[in-house]
Amino acid sequence: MIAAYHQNFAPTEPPKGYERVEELYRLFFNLMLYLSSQRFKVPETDAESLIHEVFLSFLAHSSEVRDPRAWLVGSICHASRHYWRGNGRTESISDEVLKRADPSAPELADTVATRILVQELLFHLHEKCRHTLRLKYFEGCSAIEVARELETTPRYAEKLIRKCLKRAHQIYLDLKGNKR
Amino acid sequence: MSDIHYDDETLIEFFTTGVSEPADVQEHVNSCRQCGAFRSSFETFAVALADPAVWQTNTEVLFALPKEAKLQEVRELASRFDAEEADADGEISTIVGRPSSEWRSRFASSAPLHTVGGVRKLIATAHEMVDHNPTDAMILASTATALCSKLQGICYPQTIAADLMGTALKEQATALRYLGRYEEGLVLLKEAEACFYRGSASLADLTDLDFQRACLLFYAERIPEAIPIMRRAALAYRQLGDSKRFQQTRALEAAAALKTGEVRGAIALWLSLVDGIALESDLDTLATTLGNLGQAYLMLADFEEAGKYFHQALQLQKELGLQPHLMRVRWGLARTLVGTGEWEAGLARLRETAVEFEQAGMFSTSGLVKLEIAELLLAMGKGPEVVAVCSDLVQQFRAAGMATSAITAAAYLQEAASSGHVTAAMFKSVRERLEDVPSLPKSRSPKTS
Repeated sequence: MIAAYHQNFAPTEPPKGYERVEELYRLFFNLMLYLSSQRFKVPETDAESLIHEVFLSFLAHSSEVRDPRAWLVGSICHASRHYWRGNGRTESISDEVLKRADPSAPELADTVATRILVQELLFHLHEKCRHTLRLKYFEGCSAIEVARELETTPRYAEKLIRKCLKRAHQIYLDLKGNKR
Repeated sequence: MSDIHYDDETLIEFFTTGVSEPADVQEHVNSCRQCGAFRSSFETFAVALADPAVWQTNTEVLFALPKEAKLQEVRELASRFDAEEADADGEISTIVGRPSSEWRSRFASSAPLHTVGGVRKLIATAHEMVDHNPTDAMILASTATALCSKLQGICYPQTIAADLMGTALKEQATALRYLGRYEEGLVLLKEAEACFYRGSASLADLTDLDFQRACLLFYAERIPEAIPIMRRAALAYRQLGDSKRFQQTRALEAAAALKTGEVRGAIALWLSLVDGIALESDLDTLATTLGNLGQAYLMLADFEEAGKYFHQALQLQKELGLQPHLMRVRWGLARTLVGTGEWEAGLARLRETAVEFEQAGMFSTSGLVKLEIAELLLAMGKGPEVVAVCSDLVQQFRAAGMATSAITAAAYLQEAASSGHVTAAMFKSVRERLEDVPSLPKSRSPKTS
């Protein structure tokens, strides 16, 4: 007597919001390209084709999609894995990479999206600030070492790091706001 | 909370060095929502900044743009499908208004349907119909499949035609499920899967296919095979950001758990889902889940909880107006009354429920209710009435053309009751046999006009 669940999940009305597809294509192209080519090591040209396939499939599903970003991210990760597992592929990728990049870790898309934003903000940042933050965050320099590199005092280097962080964070927030 | 906030530079100094000047920055940040949000955002940003990949990645990826030709193709396809669906819409309504015996030939000669948009519209129409008329839905879905094979030569991207064929086959499998033809449905899903793999192999298509396969296996009583597929589908729905379908799939998994005898596990899973389902305003799933919770508690002989959930389910099912579900909830309530010792009231409710199922053409389910009535009458010491119920059962099964095994079982009970040798164990045995007889929409007659 247990009642089962009868939802079938096929579209019950024609997909709507086609005009949104192009907007979404432009908005999430970089994130999807990054995931496919950087995380899953799919060659960039092929990654672009995969993204296109995902959007063609999106056309058929747009009326059911509740969270476009999650749908597109989940789909491109799946398509990238399928690319490597597909028959006839001569190249290979280690299982470890596929496992590590498994989007079942729910924070993956957020982490990658944040990383892309930070990379983008670095592009917009003044050269001196970018260099300062690179010394501090990539090369792991202390304030004294940053000061030595920039030929200034440690106190000024500390102040410069804070100012650059403030500026970078502001650009990050602006970019994030634009991408929402 | 203070109305005074610290400037960004002071906060950044505190976040990066842990040193604060003035000393109460930490206290303020902990109690101030605005500064707390700033900290959270800054920490996420700082973690990314410290990630070596940020500094090493090829930045060309960041500024790559989608190719205009690709965007153009999506644009054109989108507007083409839109127009094709609009063209097909009226045509489908006209044809579906005619007798179903004419459908196939009319669809085959209707030009607006020989397009991707037309076939999609046809599949959507079949889907809308499947719940109340699976036979007609089957005709539409199989017509859609046939039309798909004619699309191959028309200039659509190859993957789109293959995906569409997969979707049409999947819809046929859905109709077969409603018709109780589970094994045939599973065979079609294999074909659908092959189509999807020839197409884009999209996560969404394969996940919907998984869900259908799990449903068919569930109904075919192949529960151990169904459960891992349900779990895979649930995970994929979560990845796709579809919390509603995630919960629906998990709810189905709980139903499967119950079928394997894991009553407490099923209850725990349903209870963990109820709030989320309510939040999604998914009333169908909520009503079914509440009814199933009632049933599970009934199995544990926890009549208080069973009654509570059955009443909640009843309320919702009344609003939704889904008769078969409503009748099952009423049956649950009747059994709860019997369980609590209110035999007379329970008996009256069971009698009403048996009539309802019978009127809906759900004869094997009605038979199960009548068995419970007879068993209850036996316990109440009303032997002659037991005989009457059993003979009614035999006549009903014969009239409905039910399986010979069901008629034989009922006749055996009637004979035992007449000779005064019927026992509760006999009822149990016959009930188990009847439960194997599919009671779902097999009995629904096809619409002819």
